[in-house]
Amino acid sequence: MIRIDNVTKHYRGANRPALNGVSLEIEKGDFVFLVGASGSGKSSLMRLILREDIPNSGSVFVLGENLRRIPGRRVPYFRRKMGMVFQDFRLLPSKTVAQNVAFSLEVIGKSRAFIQTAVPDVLEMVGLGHKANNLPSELSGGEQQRVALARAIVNKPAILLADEPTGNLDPATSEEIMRLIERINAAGTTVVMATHDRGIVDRLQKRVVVLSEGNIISDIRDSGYVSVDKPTPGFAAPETVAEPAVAEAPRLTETFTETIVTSRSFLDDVIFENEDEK
Amino acid sequence: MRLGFVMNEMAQGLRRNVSMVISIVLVTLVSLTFVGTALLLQFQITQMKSYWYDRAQVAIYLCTDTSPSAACPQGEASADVKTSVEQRLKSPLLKPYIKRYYFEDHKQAYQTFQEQFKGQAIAGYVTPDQLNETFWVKLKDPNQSDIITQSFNGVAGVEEVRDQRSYLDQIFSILNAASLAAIGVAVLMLFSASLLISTTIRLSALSRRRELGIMRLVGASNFTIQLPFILEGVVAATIGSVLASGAVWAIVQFFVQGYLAQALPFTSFVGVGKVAIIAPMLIGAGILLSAIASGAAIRRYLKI
Repeated sequence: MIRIDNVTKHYRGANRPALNGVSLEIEKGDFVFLVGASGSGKSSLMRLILREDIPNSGSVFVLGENLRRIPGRRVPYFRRKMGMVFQDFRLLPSKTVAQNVAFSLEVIGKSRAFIQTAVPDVLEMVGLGHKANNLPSELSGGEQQRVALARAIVNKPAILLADEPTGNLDPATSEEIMRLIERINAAGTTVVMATHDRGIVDRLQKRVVVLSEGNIISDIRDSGYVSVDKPTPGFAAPETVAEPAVAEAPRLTETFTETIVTSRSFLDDVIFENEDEK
Repeated sequence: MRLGFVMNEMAQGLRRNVSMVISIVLVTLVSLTFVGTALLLQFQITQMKSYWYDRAQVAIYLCTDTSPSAACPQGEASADVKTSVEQRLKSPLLKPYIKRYYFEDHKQAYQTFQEQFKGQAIAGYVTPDQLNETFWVKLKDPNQSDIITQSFNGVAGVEEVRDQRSYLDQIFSILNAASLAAIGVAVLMLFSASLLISTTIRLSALSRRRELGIMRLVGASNFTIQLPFILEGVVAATIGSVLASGAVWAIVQFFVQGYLAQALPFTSFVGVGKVAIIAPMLIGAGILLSAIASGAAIRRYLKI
């Protein structure tokens, strides 16, 4: 489903690669947490999977496409098979909940009839059927993220990428969002989620991939959060990873500081990256 | 891709940028009016050329006593000179090129002169013997005046051979220069119009960058993303070029036909019919220019 092979990504002006010879394989239906400190390469990895970036070396295969080779005009069609949600929801403030979801179908040329049935269905599924005509500003953070999830899955993507989807939400609301994402995963959608939230990772006991300074230092199935704050020599190679660490008391505060640091908007990067380089 | 969606996006863009849209309309209006005026002038030149060239003749001026001695050492042309010139015009060498010719003596030349300069001081000074006796030659093809010029230039008793078209060419070259100047201004204005269009479209894209980001994220094709922006520029420029066509029509109707044609009744001026040729050209140019400018402006937002 997703195969990343010895990928190195070096951003211009950075003194070390954002990803340094990373390999990763994700099967259909997997639920994978990407964890690691800010700057560890989680977002870079997601950008590569969404074909926002091309690696400097190595290859990225997603849904049978070699993303280094895929011609630019096919990229939009590739992205229609992917769903993506963010920490800051990315809803259009001037459109209602239903219009926000419908917009993503309109721009890919879906028929009015399809939109008229698909949008209420998906809003019902995320539990917002009764708020279809509200504006995003009238919703709570958790509700906004559900709209974003509805928008991401309305076209039935094969893969859902979530970049810190609970980063702006309180623990109770985060739980609701995670239950929804689990349901989406249970329906067959592969989920890749970057997060700092140890509580969630510990509770769900899914596959956990730990990144540090552009390297994968741990990749364990059915795991809780793996501590990476002070990497020991033993963490250098994935094979030698010791038993997963169990949640400890002081971790929650670290989680919140990291979340604040990673506030630079992913999508703004997407739009303005080319201009920044010029 | 759905038409309603694209139209709705375009209308939103136009509404958000009203003042910039108005400036596009005005700049295209002014620049294309210049283009249209330049085209009108070209039509006018062509029309005047075909009218006057048709009537232009070659004049063989014979010597008078007052002619400059370099050309006419013997003074007044003798009757022999007149006969030999006439014979040469009738000769098989020249006859095939000549439609007709006639001779104008001192008396006729004086009458024509008095008519032309009626009421002016010079009419009082001139005497018939100062005016050249002239063979007026009308050629079958006005472009072949060189044949007459070469045959009679330097012949004894002939002061000068002159193609009337050479006077007209001066007028036409002035008109031509005016038309080129108008085109030069138009090119400059069109350049600024296209810069203005791309700036406006870039601003429009900037104000909608959230939408653009989401469109790219969910996999909208480049064409779907581009089209509302391109149409935004095209609609504004089309309004401007339609107004420019109206301005050109007004120039022909009210200035050329309403004023010039009354003031100069013996000159043939371009009619309103020419606007039917110019207007589609202006509108086409406006659409093409704005499509290219806004397409280039939006392109950099589409890099994947």
